[in-house]
Amino acid sequence: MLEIEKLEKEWRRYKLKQLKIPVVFVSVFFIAILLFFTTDLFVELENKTDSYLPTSSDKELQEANRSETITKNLTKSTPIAKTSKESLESPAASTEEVEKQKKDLVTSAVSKEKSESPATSAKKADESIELSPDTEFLDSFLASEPIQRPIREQVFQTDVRSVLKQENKRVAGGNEEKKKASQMEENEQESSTSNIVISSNKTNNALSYLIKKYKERRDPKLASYIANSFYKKGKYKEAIKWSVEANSVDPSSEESWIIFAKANAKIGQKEKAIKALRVYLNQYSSKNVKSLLKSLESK
Amino acid sequence: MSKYRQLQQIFIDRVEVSQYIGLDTSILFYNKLLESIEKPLKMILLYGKPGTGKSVLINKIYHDAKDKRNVFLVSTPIQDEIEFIKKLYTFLLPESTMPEDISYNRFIDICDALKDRKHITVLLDEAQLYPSSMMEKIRLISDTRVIKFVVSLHKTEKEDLIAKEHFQSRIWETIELKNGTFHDTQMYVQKKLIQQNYFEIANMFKKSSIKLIYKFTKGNYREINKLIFTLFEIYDYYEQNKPSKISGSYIKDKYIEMSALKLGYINA
Repeated sequence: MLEIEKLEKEWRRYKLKQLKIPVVFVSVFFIAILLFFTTDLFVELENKTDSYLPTSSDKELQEANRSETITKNLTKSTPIAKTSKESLESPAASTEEVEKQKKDLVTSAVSKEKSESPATSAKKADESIELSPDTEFLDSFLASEPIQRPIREQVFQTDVRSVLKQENKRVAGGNEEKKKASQMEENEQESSTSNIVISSNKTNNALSYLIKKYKERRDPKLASYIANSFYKKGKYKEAIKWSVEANSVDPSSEESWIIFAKANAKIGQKEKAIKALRVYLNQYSSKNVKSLLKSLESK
Repeated sequence: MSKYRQLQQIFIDRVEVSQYIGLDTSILFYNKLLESIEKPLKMILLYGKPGTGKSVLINKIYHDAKDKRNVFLVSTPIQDEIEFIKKLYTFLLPESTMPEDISYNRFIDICDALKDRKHITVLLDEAQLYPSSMMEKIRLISDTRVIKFVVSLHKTEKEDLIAKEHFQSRIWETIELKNGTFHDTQMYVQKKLIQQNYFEIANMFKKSSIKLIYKFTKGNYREINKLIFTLFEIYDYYEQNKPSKISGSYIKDKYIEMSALKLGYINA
C-alpha cells in the first residue's frame, strides 16, 4: 500500500530542489551580468580619464600620428625628434625622461651660445618658470651681443626686446636699452639655462599633444604652428605667448613675427604689431611681413 | 474492482504472448528472428539488457511458429543435465518412448542417427542461468545440426560467453534488443491501453506525460510497466480518497513524478 501523503511530501521537496537549480543559475547569471557591466563602466571611465593623457588611447595615438605628420612637414628631422619617437613608442616614459629631454634641449641651446660666449655656461639651474610674453629669448641674443653678432643684429635684438618689454609693461621706455642690456646680460645666464614650462588648460587634445611634443623637441616651427593654431581659435594672447616662444628658439622665424603682429593687432595692440614688423624688416627682408605691415598701416 | 486497479493489471510485468506489442522495432526484431530460424545455423544469440523484451519476443515466436516450424521453448532454465536431455528428447521424438538409460552421449547418438531427417528449433530463455558445462553440451548438440538453439541472455552474459573461444568459432546469428525510443514508449503505452479498450485513458497520456515517462524509464519496457502500474495505484488512491484531485482530462505530471519517486528513479 502506498503512503501517498509521504509521497506528496517527497514530491514537494523534489520540486523545491528542482526550482533551486534554475534560481541559482539565474541569480549567478544576473550577478555575472552586473559584474560585467560594472567593470565595463569602470574601464570606460578609466579610458575616459586616460583619453586626456596623450599616450593612452587609440584615439590619442591617431591624433599623435596626425600631429606627427604635421610636425614632420614643419621640421627637418633632428636627433631630438628621434628621442620623441622613442618616447611615443614607450608611452609609459616617465616625466623624468621628459625633463631630461628638456634639459638636453636647453643645454644644447646653451652650448650653441657657449661657442659664442663661454662665460654664459657658468650657471645651469633647474628652475622652471611660467612662460609669459617676456624677453627671455632676447636675453639670449644679448648674451651673444658682445662677442660675434654684427651691429645690425644687435640693434634688431635690442629693438625687439624693447617692443616686447613694452608689451609686458616691464620696461617703461625704449631709450634705456643699453643700460638694460647690461642688466639683461647678468640675468641672461639664468634665463638662458632655465626650463620653460608652457601650460595651456583650454586646448583640445591635439593642441595639448602638440604642446607636449614641443616640450620634447623645442622645435620653433612647431611653436609657430601652435601659435597659429591658437590664433585661428581666436586665443590671441596664447598665440602671442607661443609666437614669442617660437621666436626665442629661432628669432629669424618669419612666421612667429607675423603671428605676433597679427595677434597683437587683434587685441588692439596695433602699434606694437607695426613696431615689431618694422624691427623684423630692419633685420630681414620678407614680402609677407611687408604686406602685413602695409595692411596694418593702412587700417 | 475499481477502474484504476483494472488498469494496473494491464501493466503487470508478465511474459505472455498478450504482452507483445507490435511496435516498429519489435516487429523488426520479430521478423529478423524468424528469418534466422529458417537459416541453417547452429545457434542464434538473442541478447539485450533486462526489460528490452527478449522473453516476450521469444514467447511470441514460439506462439506463432511452434506448429509450422517445430519450434520449442524452454522458458525456465533446467539445471539438471539429464532433465534437460529428457526435455530435448521429448521435443525431438515426442511420439517415441524415451529410453530409460538416456544420457548425454546416448542423446548425441540419437541426434546423429536423425541427421538430415529431422530438424527442430529450441528456444532457451534466460540462458545465462545455464551452467557453463551445460552450455558446452548445448553447443555440441547443436553441432549435430538436428537441434537449432535460440539462446536468449542478458548482454553482460553474452559478452562473457562470446569471450569463450569455442562459442566464437560457431556460426552465430546475433540479434540485440535495445530500449525503446520516445516513439516506441508512446506506442507501447497507448497500444497496451487500446488493446484493452481503454481509449479514454490512452488519450489522457499526452505527449508531455510520455516525455516524462520516457525520461524516467529510458524506454525500458519493464520500467515503463512498473511506472505506469505505480501511477495507476496512485490514481486508485485518489479516486478512493480525493477524487477531485484526479478530475482532469490528462495524466498530471505530479503523479508521474510521485511514481518515479516511489520507484527510486528520482530522489527528493
